[in-house]
Amino acid sequence: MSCLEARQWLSPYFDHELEPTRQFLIEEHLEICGSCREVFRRESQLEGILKGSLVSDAKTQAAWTDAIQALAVQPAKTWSVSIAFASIAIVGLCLGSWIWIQNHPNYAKDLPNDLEKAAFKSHEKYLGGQLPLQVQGVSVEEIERFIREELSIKIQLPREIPVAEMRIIGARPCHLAGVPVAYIIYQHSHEPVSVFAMQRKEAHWFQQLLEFKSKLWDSEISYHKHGQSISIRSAGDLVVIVAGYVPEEITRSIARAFSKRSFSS
Amino acid sequence: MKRGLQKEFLALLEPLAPAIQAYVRHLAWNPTDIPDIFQTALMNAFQKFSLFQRGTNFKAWIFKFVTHAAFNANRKFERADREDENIADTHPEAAIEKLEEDLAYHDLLHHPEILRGLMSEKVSEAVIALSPRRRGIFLLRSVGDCSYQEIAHILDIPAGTVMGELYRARQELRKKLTAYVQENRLIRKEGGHELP
Repeated sequence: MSCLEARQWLSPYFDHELEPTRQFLIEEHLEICGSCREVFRRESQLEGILKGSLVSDAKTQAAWTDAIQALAVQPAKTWSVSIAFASIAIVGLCLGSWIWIQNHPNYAKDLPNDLEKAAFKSHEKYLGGQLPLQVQGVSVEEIERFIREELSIKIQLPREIPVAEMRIIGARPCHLAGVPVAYIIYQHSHEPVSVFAMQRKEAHWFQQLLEFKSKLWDSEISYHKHGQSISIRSAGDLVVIVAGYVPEEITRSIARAFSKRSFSS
Repeated sequence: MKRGLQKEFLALLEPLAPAIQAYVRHLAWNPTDIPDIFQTALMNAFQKFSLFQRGTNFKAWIFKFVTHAAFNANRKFERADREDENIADTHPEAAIEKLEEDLAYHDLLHHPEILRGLMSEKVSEAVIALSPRRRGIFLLRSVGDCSYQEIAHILDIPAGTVMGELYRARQELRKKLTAYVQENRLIRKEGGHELP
């Protein structure tokens, strides 16, 4: 092998990329040729210096570190974000459920007697001055208009109730266990009687009223216990609940008067 | 499970970090692209890591992502890849003869330590002046310590092309550095005396 031939393979020789035969021939030449041996040595040194100059710098190292950290953090971030979103969603769901249950407590509670409890709870509040009437001392027609405008409940109030010493006092919006109702106060011999009128579509919230959904206009529930009377009757698109510390015939008469009024109009 | 993959990926990456950093440092045309190159390369590589066959060449695999990201970043700056016209690439013997007749190069060869005195910036300038492919090949060999086969795989070129281009890259670098040394009179010959 000539010096020229040997030197033309200098580059791959340094890289140990020569096929074995050529590698052997070059090494054989280098053993006998001092000049080529010197050239190969200096070229190797030059290459080493060049390589040593091609290093990274502080900025590049910092950029690399940032990239590694971004890679290391990203799945955790994703995980944390997922957990955060899930937590927010769960909390939101719980809060929403709590708020909804507060407005519709019957949904989460035992339904029997809830309507009775709710009705008398409001009745007691009125008696305790905690439910001031928003309209009173006005005509039946004005109370009807008030209920229609305030609650969007189309109600026909009876023009007369076949009970002695019975008069209408006033009305206000109210709710029974979160269900919006029109609250009308009557008075029988100085004893207040509460009348709650709710839309029939809300009846399913109360166990006692489930049968009202399917039955005809003469559905009625009425009873008296522990000095409390309650009468429930359907009145067209409405369900009327009458409650008070009065005899059962009073509450029943009022309920029937509402029912009769709704079907006579 | 993703944590385990990440740990494995980073463990394989760690020993290659200095080489990858040096590679990108000198491959990127614009230094401000370096952070993006790293981020893009590492993110893309990690996303595909589940497809990487354990026991195969991770170095070549990761350098492929790094090279791809760097070449993409360079695209807006790079001139078209071109063959150097000053060095005869069809007759390497002639090129060697020419270079060896060049006294300046002869001096440089006899005083390679002169390069140590140069700011690494000058060497970087010479490297960045190489065409994109030659630069990539040279850097993969010099700082990446990649074999010709690995370089061929990373750059998706024939192994024979790697050999020829690497030879030409080295010649080009030596020519540029020789010219610099000569211009700046880093070696002087006066009456046969050579400065150390």
